Amino acid sequence: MKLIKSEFRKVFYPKSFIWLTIGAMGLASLSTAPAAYAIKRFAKLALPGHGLENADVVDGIYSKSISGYLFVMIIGALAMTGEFKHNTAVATFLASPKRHHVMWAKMLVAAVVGIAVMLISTATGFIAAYLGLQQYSDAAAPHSSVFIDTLGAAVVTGAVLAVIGVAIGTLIRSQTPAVVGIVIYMYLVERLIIVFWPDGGKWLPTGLITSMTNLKVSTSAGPMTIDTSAYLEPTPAIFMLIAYAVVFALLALTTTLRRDID
Amino acid sequence: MSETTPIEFINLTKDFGKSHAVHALSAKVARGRITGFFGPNGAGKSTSLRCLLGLAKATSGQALIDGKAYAELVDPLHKVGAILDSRGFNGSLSGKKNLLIVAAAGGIADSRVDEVLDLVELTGAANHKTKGYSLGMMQRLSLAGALLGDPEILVLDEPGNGLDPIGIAWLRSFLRKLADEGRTILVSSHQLAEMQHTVDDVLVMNQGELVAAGKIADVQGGLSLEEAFLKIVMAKK
Ligand SMILES: Nc1ncnc2c1ncn2[C@@H]1O[C@H](COP(=O)(O)OP(=O)(O)O)[C@@H](O)[C@H]1O
Ligand SMILES: [Mg+2]
Repeated sequence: MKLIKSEFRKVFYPKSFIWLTIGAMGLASLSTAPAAYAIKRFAKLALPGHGLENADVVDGIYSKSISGYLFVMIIGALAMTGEFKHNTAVATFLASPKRHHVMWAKMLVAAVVGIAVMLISTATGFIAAYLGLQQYSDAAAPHSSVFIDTLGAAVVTGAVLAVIGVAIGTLIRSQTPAVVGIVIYMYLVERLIIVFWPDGGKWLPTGLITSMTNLKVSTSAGPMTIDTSAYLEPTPAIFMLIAYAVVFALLALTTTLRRDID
Repeated sequence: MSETTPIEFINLTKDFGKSHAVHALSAKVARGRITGFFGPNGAGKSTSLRCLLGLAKATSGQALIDGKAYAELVDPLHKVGAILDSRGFNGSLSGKKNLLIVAAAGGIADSRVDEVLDLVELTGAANHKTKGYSLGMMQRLSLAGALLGDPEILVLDEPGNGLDPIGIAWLRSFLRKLADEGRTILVSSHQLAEMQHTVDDVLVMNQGELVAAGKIADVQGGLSLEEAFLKIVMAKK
């Protein structure tokens, strides 16, 4: 309990937390409204029936509201790398020499904060998607299930990616490499894998997160959609994502967490 | 009341690769006294203290507090308060918020933060960001952090580093006051002259080894501590 209170203070005292939340909201918005525009714009290139008049395509735009998760992962990583950047790790581990207690507290707090940030940023994404789609009178209405599916996926994603972030921060310790590594991996490496090797890509976090939104986009239709027909069902995707978090957390707990604190 | 040793090093060795940072250090620190932990830069003082505080793992041997490893202490911040040369603060937060974070982790009331800031005369700067603090203010904030849990034992690594003469004088009288309250203090310094009039006992390190230990007067043998140190080191060669 003591450690949890301390970890909440570490998250909420610095102003950077507000910027990270705004970043998540911005990323969610930029992933939705412009997608409506792009699909409309390139509609001629897509197969007939895969424009905004298709409710599945509109669902796909709304489900992109989940995209703020990158910031949640960064919030998780900063929870540990910040300790080494500011040399507060000494005080933290003097107060709690049983280091795994600190890591559990950080993971729990990051998960709670991650869920909150995801709910806020996903809701922001919905609004941006709605406003973006309003520009096009022929756009279909989304299925009502997309909101529940996406919010559910957002909650799981917020908790699990925050935990993975803490584990990565523990493994790497150094702030800039950890954050840059997360961004490059999530935004470049995984996207390339998903495009060029979809069978493998569906097992990676981004693919699993898409699976959890329960999207049913059956063919690669336009520049902004991916084929999710071969993706996992939401439930196995949730378990697979949790498995990633467990592996990373165990790895961190048993290796770098035990190293000397300078 | 059984008399345990507040701080004890038992054959402590810490290697980094092939080099011994600390080699076979055995020493006891007496209760209720100020013990100076002296030696030039690189002598192994900080490494010994980091092993004592559970931040670094000893290669062999032990460093104990009241007969226990630091990690086994039930309420560590109430038992030991520490300053380490590598202890830092989040520069974008105020001194007070930095301490509130530590207080929460130690289960210490928020009101105690104001008390310790007052003790080290930082009340006026309590709400300023620590990145604007001078070196002397940082040292006093560290000291405030060490005192949060009102600990019986203080382990202070180079608390005088970067202080001007007035700051050093303040520190000396502050440590004396803390010792008079019955606390046990182990204070390190690489400037042998800085603390020689403040400490009761000394442990002198050189190149990872303990080269002298005892009451300050006995170790000095009528010389200044610096002269005594050079004599001891020369005699070993
Ligand atoms: N993390 C580390 N990795 C490698 N060598 C280290 C490390 N920490 C200290 N040392 C070395 O150990 C020796 C003792 O250092 P230290 O304990 O900091 O001395 P002191 O505090 O007395 O100045 C020095 O030679 C130093 O270079
Ligand atoms: Mg040192």
